[in-house]
Amino acid sequence: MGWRSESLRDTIVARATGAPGAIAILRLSGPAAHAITDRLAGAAAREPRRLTRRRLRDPAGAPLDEALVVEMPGPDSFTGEDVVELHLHGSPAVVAATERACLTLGARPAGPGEFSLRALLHGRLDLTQAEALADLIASRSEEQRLAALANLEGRLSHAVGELLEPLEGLLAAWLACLDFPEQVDLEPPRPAELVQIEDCGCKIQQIMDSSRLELTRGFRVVLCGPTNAGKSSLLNRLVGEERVLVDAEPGTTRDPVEVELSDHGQTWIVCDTAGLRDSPTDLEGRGMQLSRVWMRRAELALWLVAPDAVAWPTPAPNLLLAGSKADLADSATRQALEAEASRRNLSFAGWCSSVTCEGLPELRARLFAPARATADVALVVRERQLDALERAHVALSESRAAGLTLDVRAQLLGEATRALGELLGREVDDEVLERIFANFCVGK
Amino acid sequence: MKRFEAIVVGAGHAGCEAALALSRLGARVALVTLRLDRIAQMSCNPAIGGVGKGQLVREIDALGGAMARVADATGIQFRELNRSRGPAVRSTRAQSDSRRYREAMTALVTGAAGLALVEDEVIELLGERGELTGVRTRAGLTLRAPAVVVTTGTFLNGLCHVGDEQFPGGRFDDAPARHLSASLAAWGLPLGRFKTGTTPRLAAGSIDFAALEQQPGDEPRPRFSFDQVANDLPQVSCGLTATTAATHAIIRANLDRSPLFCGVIKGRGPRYCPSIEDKIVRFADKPRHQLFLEPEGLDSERIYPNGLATSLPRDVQTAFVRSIPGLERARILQYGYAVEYDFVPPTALFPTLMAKRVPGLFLAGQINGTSGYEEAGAQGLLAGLNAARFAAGEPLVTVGRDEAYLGVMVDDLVTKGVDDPYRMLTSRAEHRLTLRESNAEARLWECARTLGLLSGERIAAASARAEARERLRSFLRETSVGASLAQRLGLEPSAIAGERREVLLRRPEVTIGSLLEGERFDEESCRLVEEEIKYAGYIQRERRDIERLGELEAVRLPELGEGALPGFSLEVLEKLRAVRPATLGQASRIPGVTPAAVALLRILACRRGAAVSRETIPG
Repeated sequence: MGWRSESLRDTIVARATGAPGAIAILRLSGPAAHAITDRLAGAAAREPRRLTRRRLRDPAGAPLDEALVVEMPGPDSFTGEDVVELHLHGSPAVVAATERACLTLGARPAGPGEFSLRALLHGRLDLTQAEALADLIASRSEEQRLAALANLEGRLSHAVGELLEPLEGLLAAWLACLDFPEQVDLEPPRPAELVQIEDCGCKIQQIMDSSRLELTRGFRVVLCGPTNAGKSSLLNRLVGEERVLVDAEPGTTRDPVEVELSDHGQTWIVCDTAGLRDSPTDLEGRGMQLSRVWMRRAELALWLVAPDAVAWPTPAPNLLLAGSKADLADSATRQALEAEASRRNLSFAGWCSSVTCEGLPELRARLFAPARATADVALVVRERQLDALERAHVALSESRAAGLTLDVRAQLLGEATRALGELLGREVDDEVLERIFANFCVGK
Repeated sequence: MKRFEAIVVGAGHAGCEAALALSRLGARVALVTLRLDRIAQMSCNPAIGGVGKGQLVREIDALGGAMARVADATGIQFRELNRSRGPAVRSTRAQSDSRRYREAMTALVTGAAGLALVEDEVIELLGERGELTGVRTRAGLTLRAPAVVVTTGTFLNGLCHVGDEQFPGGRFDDAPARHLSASLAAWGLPLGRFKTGTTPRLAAGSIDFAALEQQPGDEPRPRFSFDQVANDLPQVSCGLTATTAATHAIIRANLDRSPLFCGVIKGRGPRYCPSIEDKIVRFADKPRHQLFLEPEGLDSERIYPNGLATSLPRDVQTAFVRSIPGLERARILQYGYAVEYDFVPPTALFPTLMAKRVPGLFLAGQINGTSGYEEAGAQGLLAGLNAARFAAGEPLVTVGRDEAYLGVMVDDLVTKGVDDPYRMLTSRAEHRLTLRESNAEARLWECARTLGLLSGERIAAASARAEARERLRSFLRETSVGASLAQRLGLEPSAIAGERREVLLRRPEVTIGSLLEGERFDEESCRLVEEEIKYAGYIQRERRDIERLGELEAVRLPELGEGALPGFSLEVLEKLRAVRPATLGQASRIPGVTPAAVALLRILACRRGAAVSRETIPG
């Protein structure tokens, strides 16, 4: 990538609009943005943030275009640097000639994402906002657009920041007790503090519940079930090619396999996982553990049962059951399995066969339905964000456990605040230390 | 002209450990001090240890140092702080007889092999063609050595304040060092100015102890050293009292006469050790502040009122002291004062404590912007060790944040710098459960042996203790519980009979003592192994964190050079150039270096094919 090899002191230029249209915008950012504009358009009184009509000429004096020019001086610009936009007539020739003129005058072409990177490096965006910006630009659906926009406005940062604030205060209090036992006359944890932690854990859970990772990484369908239930065969049928090694020997698939499908601007990722069974080998065992994580993280987990491979999962909101190897199942077998599924509160999608193709179109329609629409705007759209929230959530609930010594509680609370800080790209340890001294009268 | 392998400037808590480490490593060393009768003087409170600091003292002991032994031999009250709050924060603290402490340490340095004591003032660092060659003293002596350890405490251009009075002094009653700062500056070292303060000292006979609550020491006594150190001294109590509304009123009425508040003192003071006037201003709603009346020694008239540091004028000190219960007729033997002194911002040092600009020059203690005897002693030991290695042409040693509190402290100092005097806190150590007081020797002794810091006798003792721990571990791991023990533990025999002892010990209500059934193991081993087993889950978790962070520590960064650097903002570049981090991990801890910049550094390091290796104490 270009930006990695170049300096922030450079002035960069790139076309900011997409495919040819009536107007094309060239954007300049960096210390020479104004100077280059003056050379193109002739020096004029600067009117920040105001579109002005200027005649552009190349350095040799040849006319380029009649353009609308807007100058946005740093640090209050998008990148934090001096930014100039040249609104040109949309002819590819005009744009190319103007860009060439900028390069001659000392700018260099911007690398992919370099304007956002500069905004990040200059502190104009935090990490979640930078991610949101990338998501916004890449958004294809209204939901994706709304989620990205909310985070660009700092919704996730704000929500997490509000949780972090009281936790940092609590941690500072506990650490003050531990480091200054003779000065701070408290014996935490007080019941109210544990309630506060629980409350915070619930709020994190709410944010996690609204997570919609599929908005950035595709709608994930995980095939799971006992070994030899026909998961790999079904995957091969669904994607129409031999992607997964299939064998009659149980336990052939040890590592999860994933295949990406695209349709109507929506992406699905179909994953095949290691089958779950009672006495796996070590290698298989690790595969199975991974399968369980994948099931939890998927938008839809399709659990297969076959007449010759039956095992039952615990019901979960994202879990759907289907009968596999329909060609082997007579109607008595089918009825028995369906009755057992309903007794176990598992919703049953129907029967299918990878040999006869019975039931496959129906199953396909069920799996690859357009994504559900929800009223809430999702805040968590990336694995990184969900990971950090999950770590914080686990550490918080552990820190409330009975019978722990305060050093361990503080360690767990520290883990939670660090995870939330990571989400925001913030270093919390030093902030907590500052609070100890600001809030407690400690020292000899 | 005399030749040495190293010269140690200053014989306080840092200087003594540095000189003794050099001596143990077989180096010829000159220890230069202004006054031979003030070696290891306790300038402030007569105590060693405390939370976080106790961990440092135990580490000094594990590395063969002196502070733990001297404190054990001369302590007159021992306590274990945070006893019920978990193994990570349990810390030992001792009141010392400060005269006996000074005498015991003086005896150690006087008797140390290859150590020459010099009573003089070092006024200049000497060099030839930019290379450090030794020091010149005020008496005109030239001492030559390739390595110099500077431990000047509060003496560099020291200026004392009591109210509006000012007098030059490194300490009350002691002249400052007036010339060395200029020489350090001439060698290109930056200088800053800090302030610290101490309490008035009260006459024991003038205090109404009978009216006060007493705080005795703990029995059995906790101790610092892993070896048994004899101490037959009688043990004493400290008196407890507190400031009153009247005290606060007197102080408030006289704030305009405080050099702190009227702007006379420019140096920044320690946040964790504020003066009483500071506390009353910053925490105005706190009605009383706890005070501890600590005897300075068994035969000393002097009492140190812990919590009462001040630089208010003498008449105000007398007035507010007498507004405190038990001190109504107290006589002040020495007034509280503040002292301002020069320090070197520690970002000027490598994590070996060697100055970046002067090969062979090592700094330790308050000159690095720290505070506290324990912080000074631990740095002194590392500086002495590296001075010896520098003189011998051996690679220098650094200590990791996951290896010792010493490693945490030095990394904080050289990476983050200091805004106010630095004190060790357990909250600065992210791997607290790994760095316990109890396992300091287990963590460090093998490194110490490899480095040559331990005597043969000490190696034998430490390895015997390691074997005892191993025996205890296998006893717990390999033997199981019978029905009679189960009954005695009040547990259902059928449920636990045949269970291994180790598994049973994981239960919160089961203690290690109840599982030994007559087998004899020493107390230290029991404590350590019990913590290991009861806290195994959390310790393992830290281990995983350490490994994750270790990946960053393993990426060595190239020198960043002078020119523009791809993709970095000027601010970040300035910070990186100031600290010159050795590893990606260190870079990530520099304040103001953003995650984005760390990602760029990683790419840079990989591109330049920097070696993936880690230099640390060889284990």
